[in-house]
This record gives sequence, structure tokens and C-alpha cells, in this order.
Amino acid sequence: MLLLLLAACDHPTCLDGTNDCEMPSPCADLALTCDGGTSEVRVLGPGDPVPGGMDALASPGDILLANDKVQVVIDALDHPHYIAPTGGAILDMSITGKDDDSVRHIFQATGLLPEEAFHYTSLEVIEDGDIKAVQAIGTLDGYPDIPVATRYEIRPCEPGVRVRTEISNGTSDAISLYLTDAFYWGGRELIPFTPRAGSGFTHPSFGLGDIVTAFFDVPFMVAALHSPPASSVGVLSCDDDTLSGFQSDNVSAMGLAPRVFPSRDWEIYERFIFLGEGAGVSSAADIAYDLKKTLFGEAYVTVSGTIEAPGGTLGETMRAMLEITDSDEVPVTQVLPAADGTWSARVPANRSYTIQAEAFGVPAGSDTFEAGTSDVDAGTLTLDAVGEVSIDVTVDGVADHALVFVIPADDATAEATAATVYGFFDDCAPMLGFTHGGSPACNRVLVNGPTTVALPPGTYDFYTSRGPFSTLGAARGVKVEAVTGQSVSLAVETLDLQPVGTLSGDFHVHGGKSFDANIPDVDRVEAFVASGIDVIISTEHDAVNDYAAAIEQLGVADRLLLVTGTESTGHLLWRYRTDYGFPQVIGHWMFWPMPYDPEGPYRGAAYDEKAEPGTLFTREVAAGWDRDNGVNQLNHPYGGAQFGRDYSWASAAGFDQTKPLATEYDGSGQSLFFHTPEGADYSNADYDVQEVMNGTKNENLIQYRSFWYYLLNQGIVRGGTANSDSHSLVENVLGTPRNVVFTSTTREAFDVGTFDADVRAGHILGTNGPVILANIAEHTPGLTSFTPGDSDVLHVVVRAAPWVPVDEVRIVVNGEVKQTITDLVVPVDPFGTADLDRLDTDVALTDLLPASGDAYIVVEAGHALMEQADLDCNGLVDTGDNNGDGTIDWQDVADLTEDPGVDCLDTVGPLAEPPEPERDTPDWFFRSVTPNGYAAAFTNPFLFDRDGDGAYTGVK
Amino acid sequence: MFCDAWIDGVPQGPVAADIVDGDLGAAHGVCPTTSIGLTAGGNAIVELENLYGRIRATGTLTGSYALSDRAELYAKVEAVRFDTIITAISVTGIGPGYTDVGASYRLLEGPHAALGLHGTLVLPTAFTLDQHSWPLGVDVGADGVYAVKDNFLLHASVVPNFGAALGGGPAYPAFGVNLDLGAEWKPFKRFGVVLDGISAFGRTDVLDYAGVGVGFRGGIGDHFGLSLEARAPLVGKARELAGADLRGTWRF
Repeated sequence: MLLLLLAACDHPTCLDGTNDCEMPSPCADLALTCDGGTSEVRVLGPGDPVPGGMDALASPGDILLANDKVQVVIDALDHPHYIAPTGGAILDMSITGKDDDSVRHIFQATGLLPEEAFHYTSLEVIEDGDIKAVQAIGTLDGYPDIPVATRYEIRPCEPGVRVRTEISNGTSDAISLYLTDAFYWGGRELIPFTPRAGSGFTHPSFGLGDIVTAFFDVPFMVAALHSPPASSVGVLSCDDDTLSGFQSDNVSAMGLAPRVFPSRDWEIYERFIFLGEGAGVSSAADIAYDLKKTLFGEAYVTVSGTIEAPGGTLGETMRAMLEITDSDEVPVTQVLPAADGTWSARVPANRSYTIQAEAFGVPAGSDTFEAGTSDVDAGTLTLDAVGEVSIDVTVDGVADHALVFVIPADDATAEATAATVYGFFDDCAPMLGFTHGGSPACNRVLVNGPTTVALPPGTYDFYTSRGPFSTLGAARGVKVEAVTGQSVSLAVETLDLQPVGTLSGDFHVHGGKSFDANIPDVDRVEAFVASGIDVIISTEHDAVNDYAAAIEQLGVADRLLLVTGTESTGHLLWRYRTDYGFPQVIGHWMFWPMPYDPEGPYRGAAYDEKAEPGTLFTREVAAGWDRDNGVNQLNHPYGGAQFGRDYSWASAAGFDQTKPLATEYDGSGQSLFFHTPEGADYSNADYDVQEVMNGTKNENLIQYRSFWYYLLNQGIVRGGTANSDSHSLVENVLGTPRNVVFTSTTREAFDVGTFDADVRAGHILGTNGPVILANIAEHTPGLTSFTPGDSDVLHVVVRAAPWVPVDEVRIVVNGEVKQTITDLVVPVDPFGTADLDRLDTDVALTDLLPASGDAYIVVEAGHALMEQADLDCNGLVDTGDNNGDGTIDWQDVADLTEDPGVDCLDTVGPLAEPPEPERDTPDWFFRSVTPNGYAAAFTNPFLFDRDGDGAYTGVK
Repeated sequence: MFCDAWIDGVPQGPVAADIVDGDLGAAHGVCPTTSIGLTAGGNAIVELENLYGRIRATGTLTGSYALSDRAELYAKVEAVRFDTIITAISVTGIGPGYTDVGASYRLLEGPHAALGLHGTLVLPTAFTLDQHSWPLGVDVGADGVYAVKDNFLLHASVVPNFGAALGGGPAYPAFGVNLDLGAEWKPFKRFGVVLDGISAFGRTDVLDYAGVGVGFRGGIGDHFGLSLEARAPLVGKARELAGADLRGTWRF
């Protein structure tokens, strides 16, 4: 009897340690048919057509599974991506013929730890008539005694891929088993939707320490983009009517319920991963309901209706979205109406439903309907009417590309229009389009000639500039009424601010090829031009992109100097510090120029996982980075982590600024700086420049400069840079801040080698507005030291556009502010062209420098810095006076509610930020095009050799 | 004879706290008894460096029946078994545990020593834990005891064992040998201590583990016994930090 029972069960077939097996076809109860369906599987070769789309990364060696509906790419074993330690995962998925890949990566794991990811060692192509499959076999990454196997199968007519995973525990101990697909969204892209009471797009926040609280059982999961080109991806189990997992815009996991997995036990997980065409949930959810009917007999009906939306164009993101919720408060789907206002979606049968409409992210009407067993006409729902505004911008009298900020002009309009995309991403007021998609996005619009946008009724200000060296174009107090149209014209003039003999550059810019960006290339290139930047270093995370097609499409090749680079971004956690208990990554590092390889697995970048910086530098050289003539940059030295992945090298290494860096390697974080990893050609210290300013908000300037000064004090001389780290039209504004590079090369005869040499030499002013021109005799800032004369003076000139408030100039000597100058010119008219010159002064070096010894000076200008303190005793300021009581102590720490009673706190932060400016003040106007920012600029150092050894060797 | 001299309520034999599921490869007493007992036990793995911890707790019913002065049947049923894995995604399981059934036979007995054989079958009754596999175990061991003094015994056991899984998945057969050497001392009539050197070979590696076991045992009257015992691997591949149990036994 027992044997009969066992024989009737579905057994693992590829877990006996041999590879000469074939897993059975998954989802045996699934049956989808059509006329003329096709299927294919093949290993991609050079020049083969591959699925397109913003997230597409297929390359030769990967395996394509395709049918008449979808294309699926399984990455080759030696082409791993993102969090998966090996290939064998789903890299791309697109609707056949649509080039709309919106899937970043889908891989298998049994938990969150690095060793719980699947490590495949073989990939096999299987063809059985119309059934095409890829079979991957391996083990858990940290458990060679736990075999795993996965079969991806495609059949004609099916809108997705069948997947079967087998695992057994060959160890002698029980482990935690959460057999799951991990859907790596990356952020700023897809947002997951689950039909669970109170959920839909709403999911509990969680950290790695409390992730179990975020687990829920759901019938299926669909992740939707809201910005074209888009497809929506979903998953449901073939065997059970629920899946278990957690959701976020960064990572979702959907699999079997977690359980104790004892020695010798095994498990099988079969599911269908499917793709719906277009933005929004319903395209994929419709498939899910159809599959659930086939697999589990759950009936659905199709509901249809019409939206009337006076003003604006339906079919555009955020103009109208419908979420349908049943009487048990279970959101069952979400629909984006077509351009003609019609819509339809599948919903479970025999329930009562509410339709909630949103326009521009805020509620815009609702209706109800009853669903029996027949299809339903929900009738017409009329949304509140909106107005339209045609925006035109001239730059120096000529219509040109510009980024326009639309800002509520009064509190009532701000309150009425404030919205998010279902709780994800930044608040926007108004929400003109998907936060991180193409234009319009959030409250920003790319303009090139008259451009019409729909706006909710209210009063708005419109602002634009061509970066910090132009006037501020404004149209203020524009009243927008429903169903009416009007025009807004903005004019900006280029000001004589960018010093002669310089090129401006942004060395940290992302587009759709980055895993956490969703802006189309064309919009990205328009933003390049609108920023007025001379040189763009394109720096996609873990990839290279040259934007060639978009540049050609826009015809702006003669207006852009684009250098291809990459931002190495560690994903695979590993242990490289002996004095820290958790696995880490090494933060983010920049390299340029990198050769663009349109067919490479990383488009020219090197594989960058599990490498100390020195090893990473070596790999990038092998990938084509010119070490001698290029630049590598330490990005944002301090920061937190995203899903446990450290953003920043100095944070990850845990450098203690109260102590010098260790020159002898002992495995500790403090000794990592100078370490040369085994097999590497470079040490971890072999980088050229570091970011001192990152991002428009610039909230971590004080920490980044702290690390810069900490190194300079020790004679470790690196240039300082200022970059936007822009990922979309939102958050950071491209080109703000920027580098003003003093160089002999020009726009007309650009030589990247010369430009990079000046970057490496620190011939850079970093700024989001103020221009600092400083010299000591014939010397200007840079990394070449000199011996000053006894009577030398520091000559400082500060200039800025009238809308850039410069409150003070700070002269920093050996890392400490030695003198602060506050007697600066204040412009009369922030929208005018006068009062560019704010300061012109001389300061004797004898008033600044100590009596003897090597020294350095940095000049800073802008807003006064907020007072901060170091509460955890590592030499790095971490906390501001957040409660405003005049002292900085444990009561300013957000996560402390009682005095821990120790001198050095374990929990600190946040840093204090400049206060929100009053409306229509200089800081307000500055923030209108520099969101949440404050004016700041810095020079690179003057390095003084005063001890006669021929070089600046640090402050003694 | 030896077994006649050592019959009272105080538990006897090697330290019984188990490390391996189902206590496969455990030593067994030489002298047949008829008894029932209740054990609360558990063991733990703590590996901070791997972000892994495991706690297992069991409530076990035991019973034995002396068929004769040489032969015994015995059984052990984990009525309740609680497993928790503490890691990034912690999980917990509770349900019935494993069941042991076995028999022992005393081959030789003298005034100061005895030698016997035992065999145990570990049955896959942890239905909620083993959701697909049917892990089985069997061991056959030789157990000996020697009375150095009236209140001081030496004991030893060698227990070859074999485990494998049925159920359609990989069997993962594993053969091993457990070796226990130890001493029991009863300084008082109703109180004794036991100290064992424990070791296992071949199941997961050449040396699965080598460690120590210690127990404190008491008796109330001639029938009821209570013991608190623990075993801890010190070297080898086994990851257990320690196993311990508290056992009450009524000896008929």
C-alpha cells in the first residue's frame, strides 16, 4: 500500500547527483491552446536578435525560450547577473515582437542569505516536439550537499513559462526552506500587486531582521509598470491556490510557505510565470484569473466600462487608473483605460465590487457593480475635469530642450494634488506622470517647443533653468481651470558664470539600463541637453550604455560629449572583514571610459561580484578600462544599504576616523584601505577621485567631505567631485551638482584623455550653483603640491546666478574651518541677471596656515552648514540637533526613546538638514529647480609642501 | 549476578541525551527492564558566523518490557517534537517526532560484568516534519558493562548504524559507527553520576563528532528514577552545541 502511495506521488527526478536526467513537464493540469502557435529554444549566438526593452541584457551564450506570445532569456552559467551567483535565471521576458522587457531578474533561492541562492552548474536545452525547455542543475550556493534543479518550459500559445524546481536536503541537519523565486525589480520600476485583503499595491515595510512579518499567502502576484514601454509580469502556483512571500519595489519573493526542511526531505515547486502586454496590473492579472480557472476551477467574469475624463489624454500614465476591490476589501485588479476611455478586466465571479478611480494619483471618483457568473458592463464613470497647459521654453531666445518644474503656488493646490504612485516612491504635487518614467514624471516635464500637459485645477508656478549658470525662468501664479487651455512661456538666459577654459561634467548619471532606473533613453538624452552640461559620463549600474540610438533620434550628437562608463554595484554579499559578523558588498565604484559592447553580458562592464576594490579595478582593466588614461571614482563614501547591500565603501569597511588607516593588512576594516587583494594588480587605494557632493539634495556632503579631509590629513591625496547621481527626472536633477573641470580640451575638439587627466589632477570645482575661483599667486587648486611664499595670499572670487543664495564662504585649513566670510553681495532680483559677483577678497596665508608643516586649504561657499555631532565616537559626524534644543545628544537620535547611558551610542542619526524655506524666499527659488537642496560649492585643495621633502605628505 | 545487583530506581547505562534524529546509534543498557518513562529533551545548534541556529525540543514516551532475564523489547515515541530554525527567515515546526522500536539480548553475565546486543529501528513518524521523505534508520550494537567496585561501573558500546530515506527522493544512505566509553559512579544509594566519552564515525565524515556526555541520576524508592543528562560534541563535523534531557522513569 505504501509503495502504491509513493508511486502515485510526484517525485524529484534530478536530485540524485547525476546530470543525465530529465525533469517532468511542470504544471500538468495546465492546457492552453491556440491556432498556429510556435515555440523555439536556442542558445543565442553573436548577432542573433534578442528581446529588447529597457531591462534587456541578453547576450551570446544565453538561452532563448520563445513562442508566439512571449520571449524568455535564461542567462548563461558564466553570465550571472545581480543577486544570483550563477546563470540559469530568467534575465529577460518580453512580449514577442514588442521589445518591452520589464523584467530585471528572476532567480531561485531558499532564503535571504547568500548561501541560500541556487548555484547552477549545468544548463541543458531540451526539445520534445512543441515543448521546449531549459533544465538547470546545481546546488545551493553554500550547501554542496543540497542539490537543486529547475526546468523552464515553454509551449505554443502560452503567455509565459512553466517552471519546476526540485530540491532535497542531503545534509545531516535541518535548514530553513523558503523555496521561492526572487523577483529582483531593482527599484523605481515595477511595483507588485497582490489580491489580498487590504493589500493590492499596499505592502508592509520590513527590514532584513523582521522580514517574516511581511510574509503573506496570496493567490498570485503581478508586478506592473506604469510607464511605457511596459509589460507586467505575474506568477501563480500550479499546485496550490496560494503562494507565500513578501513584496517591495526592490525585491519580491513568491514561493512555497517557509518550513523546517529536515535532512533527507525533498520538495517540488511548480508555477507559471507569465507576461501581460502593456502597463498596469490587469493585462497580467487577466491571465492569472484565466489560469486559476483552468487549474483550480475558480470562475471569473469580465467587467468592462468607460471612463469619461474631461481634459488631458486617457491612456497616458497617471491620468486615470482604476482599482477594483471586492466587498471583503480585497483589491482584485487594477486597470489603465485605453485612449478612448474603454476598459475591461477579469475579476472573480459572484462578488460585489467597488471601482476606485484615481487621476494624477489622487481619488477621482468611484462606482460599484455586482459580478455574477456572466460578464458585466460597469457603465460610465466620469472623472473630475482637468485643465491643460502648453509650456514653451526659450534659451537665449531660442526654443530648446528644458526641464520644467511645476510647483503648486499655494498650500491649497499643494494639498489637493499631493500624491504617490500607490504609496511608492516620492511624493509629487502634482503627479503628472509615473514618478520614474519618461516625461512627464512626477511634477517635471521635458519641453522642446510647445509641450502640452494636463493639470488638475489649481494655481501653479512654473520654473526652469539651464543648470546653475543661467537665469531662473519662471511663470508664477498661473491659475489652471478645468477644461480650459492656456500657455506658459519661460525664458532663460545663459549667464557669464562658467569660467573660461572649463568644461562642466556630471560623472554619475543613470538611465534605463541601470537596474534601478526606468527612464527611456530618449528622455534621458533630452535631460542631458536640458541640463546644459558639457560632458556626460554615462554610468549605468553594472552595465555600459552609449545612448547612440536616442542621440541619433533627437539629432543632438553635436550638443553632447558623452563618455561611456559604468558604476560597479555589488550585489552578492560576502565576508571580507574579519572584524564584522555579516556578509557585505564594497559599495559603488565608477570607471570611465569603458568600451561599449552591445553584445556583452554587461555591455562592456566587468563582472564585479565578490571582489575587493583592488580586484575590481583589475577586472575592469581586463574589460577594457584604460587605467592610465581613465578615471575611477569612489562614489558616495558613506551611506546605508539597500536590501542589505552596502551603498558605500567607507561605511562597509567601517573606517574609524579617530585612528589612522592601518598600513599592515590584518583583515580588519581599518586595514582594507591599502590592501592589495590576492591576484589583484592594484590595491584598494588605487582610485583617483571621490565624490564630495552627490545628489541634488546633497544631504551627505558633510560626511563625504569628512572622509575626504580624513584622507587628505594623512597625505592620501584624491580629487573631489560633485555629481547628480540622477536616475530619472525625479529625485536628483541631472547636472546638479556638477563638476567644473579646468582643462585645455574643448567642446569643439574634445579629448577625453586630456579631460580625464585634469579630473585625476583635481582641477575641479564642485558646485550646484556658486562658482569659486581661487588662486595663490599662479597656483590654482589641484593635487600638485607647492611651497607658498611668505607673503602669498589666498585670492577668492565667488560668483553665482541671482537665484543661487550664497550665505557664506568657508576657508578650510587641514580639514577645519579656519575662517568664515559672511559679508557677501545679496542679489536684488532672483529672476534678473545682475549681482553675479558676490565676493572678491584676499586672505593672507599667514592668517590661515599653522606655523610650519605641510598643510592644505579648501574653499567652500554656499549655505551655512548645519551643526552635527559624532555620537558613536568614530570620528564621523552622524547626528544633528534634530529636536532643536541647542544640544546634540541621544535625544536627537530618531531610533532612541530613552537614554542608553553610554558615552558612545550604537544607534545614531539622522543628520540635521537645512530647514524648509519659506515660500518666495531666495532659498525657495533655489529649491524650485534644486529640489530639497541647498547651495554648496567646493574647490579641490591647495596642497602645501612646507617641510621641504618635495611633496605634500599629510598633516603632522 | 551483575544485573541482579544493580536493579533499583536509579537509571543506568550510558548518557541518553540524543543528538541525532531518532537517537540512531544510541547505546543501550545490558540488563533487561520493564519500565515506562517520560523525557523532555532538546538540543541546539548555534552558529553565529553562519547566521544559523536550531533548537529542537521533544516530549518522548519510553517503555521497555523484559521478556526474560536476558531479553527486552523497548520503544521510544517522540509524542511531540518542536523544531525551530533561527536564520534570516526563521521557521518553526511542531508535530509528532520519530519512533524507535528495538530489542536487546544479554549474551553474557557474570558477578561483575555483562555483555549484550541490541537492535533499534527508527521509524519515519515525524509526519509534519518530513513532508515527502520517509527516513528510516537501523542500528545493531554491542553493549558491555563492568563493575570495578560496587558503586563504580565502566561501560562501553559499539553501535554500527545505517540510515536512508524512502519516498521517491534521494535515499542519502549513510552508514556510521557510534562508540561510547564511560563510567558510572553512585556515591550514594539513590544518587549517581555518569561521564561518557562519546564519538561517531562515518555518517557525515570520518569523524562525525567526539565529545562528552554527563548525567546526574537519582532514585526515589526502588522504582522511580530521575535523570538530567547532556551530551556535547567537541570536535568533528557535527554542528550541535549540545543536547540535554530530563527523564523520569518508573521501573517495574
